[in-house]
Amino acid sequence: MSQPTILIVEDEPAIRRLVKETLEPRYAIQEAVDGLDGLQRAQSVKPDLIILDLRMPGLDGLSVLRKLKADRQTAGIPVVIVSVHGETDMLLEGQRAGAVDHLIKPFDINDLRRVVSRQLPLAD
Amino acid sequence: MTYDDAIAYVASLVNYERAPNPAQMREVPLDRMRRLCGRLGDPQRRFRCVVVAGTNGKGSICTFLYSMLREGTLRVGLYTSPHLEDVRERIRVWSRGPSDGARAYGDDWISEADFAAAIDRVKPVVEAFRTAGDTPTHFEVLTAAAFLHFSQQQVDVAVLEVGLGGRLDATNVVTQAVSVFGPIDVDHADVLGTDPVLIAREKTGIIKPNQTVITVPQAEAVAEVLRVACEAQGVPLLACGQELTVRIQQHDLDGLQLTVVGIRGIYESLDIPMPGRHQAQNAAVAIAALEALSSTGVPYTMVERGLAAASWPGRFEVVHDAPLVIMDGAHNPHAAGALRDTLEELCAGRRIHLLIGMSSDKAVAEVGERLGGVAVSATCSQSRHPRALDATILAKQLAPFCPDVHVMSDAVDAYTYLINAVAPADVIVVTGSLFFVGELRAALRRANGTASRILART
Repeated sequence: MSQPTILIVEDEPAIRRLVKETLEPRYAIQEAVDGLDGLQRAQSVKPDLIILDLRMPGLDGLSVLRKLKADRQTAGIPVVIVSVHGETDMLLEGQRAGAVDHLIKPFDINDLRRVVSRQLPLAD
Repeated sequence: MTYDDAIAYVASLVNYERAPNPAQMREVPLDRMRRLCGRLGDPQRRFRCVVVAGTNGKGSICTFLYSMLREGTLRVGLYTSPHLEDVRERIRVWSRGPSDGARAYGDDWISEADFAAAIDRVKPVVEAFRTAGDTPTHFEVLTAAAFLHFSQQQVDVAVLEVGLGGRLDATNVVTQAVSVFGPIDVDHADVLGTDPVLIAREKTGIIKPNQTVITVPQAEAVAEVLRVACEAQGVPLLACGQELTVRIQQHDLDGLQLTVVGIRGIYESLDIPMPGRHQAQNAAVAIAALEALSSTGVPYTMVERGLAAASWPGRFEVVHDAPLVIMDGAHNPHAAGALRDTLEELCAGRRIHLLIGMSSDKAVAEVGERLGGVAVSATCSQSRHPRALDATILAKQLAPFCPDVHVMSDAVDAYTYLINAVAPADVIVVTGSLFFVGELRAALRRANGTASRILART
């Protein structure tokens, strides 16, 4: 069986690198550099999980999430939203919009692994 | 007035801490603050005061003194600036007697209701002044609110940190029993200039008759200004290194162990949970200030417990263990030099990564020159403060002094990356402006917990 694919939508290259290095090779990682890129890749790649930063310039994470959920092709893909403290309203809105889980920055890579394995349990 | 109303009102006033051009501040006369307090019934006359001035170390000296006073029976107030995370940090009162060193985060901050009540009382006077074309500033209003709160809480002693300079600072309307000076050096050059002697003259402008003046060791030219100012007012000057002395017994990442010979007693084996050799002098002058306030001498337990419980977040504060993360708002060359010395002594042989954000009005190159050499990398970032220096420009200015310079403008992203990417034996130093350190500290305190130990500590 091929590895599950995770799409990381995040404007900061260092964070994308961190997520990729943490989750490979158990998962195949696709990267999107902003909201628009994220939407397009979600449609073309159909990942098994999306890790979506809420704070991005241009099309922000909440808008991306709502568009993903409004599109029949992507509505079923579980989305984990990533935020920072003090954005409780954003987190709640994200949950209402259909996010399955969240991560608060700054996160530890063990937090990241835990959240991902809850959504995509791997057989050993 | 609700707390949110009070915050909004205070935010609507001219705030030189956040103004793009703080140089205009020179024009704020002290007379207005006197009239403002007069209209409020001069609350600042209802308690004794200690005023702490200087370029660096003011906050540490204030917190040492206040923390020791908390272990006595007096009701005590503390007024400091700026704040790290919450404006209420600036105004504190302890009135519950000796606490045996036990502390809880924010246990002494002015309550939201009391803050709103104080601003509600100041507002009509501010509005009357505004009508006359003479609106008080953010700092004047907060200072007046602090005086009202201290008076209302019937504090016996208030410890006041000068905001900027001294002679014209809003805090200088008080007639204090003791003045304490931390190290005087160059900072806020656009307001105070770059000549340490002229800066010292501004700062010693707080000295008045009938008080005791205490200072840490100063550069000779500054010491001379202090001597002249004290002679002119006919008041005694007690200098650390002369009339009082301090000896460091131990210094590690947990802090310092000291023996202080004060003006009235000897205090042995005092533990201070704040690393940095410069803190020894800050503690010594705080002890001397406490002695100067007392007519009967100071119990050892008050000094011992007070110093052991002192904490001043964002100043060589260890917030994570492996990798070690230290937060220190070293925003001027003097403070950066002290941070470098402490890092060289306590983190020798370890790889140090800087995570730095500065204000645009600071001597960035001089700070970089002092800190760049100890680090293997510098990640440049920025706060959301209006005076924050663009991270890209900061990177260009640091490049000559530091080997491996990166830009990551989002501080939380930068921290998230570094904490996971560097080796457990490495050291991350979060430094630069207090606003930068404060923003990141707030993010850490509210995050999941695994990325920081602040939650457990405070």
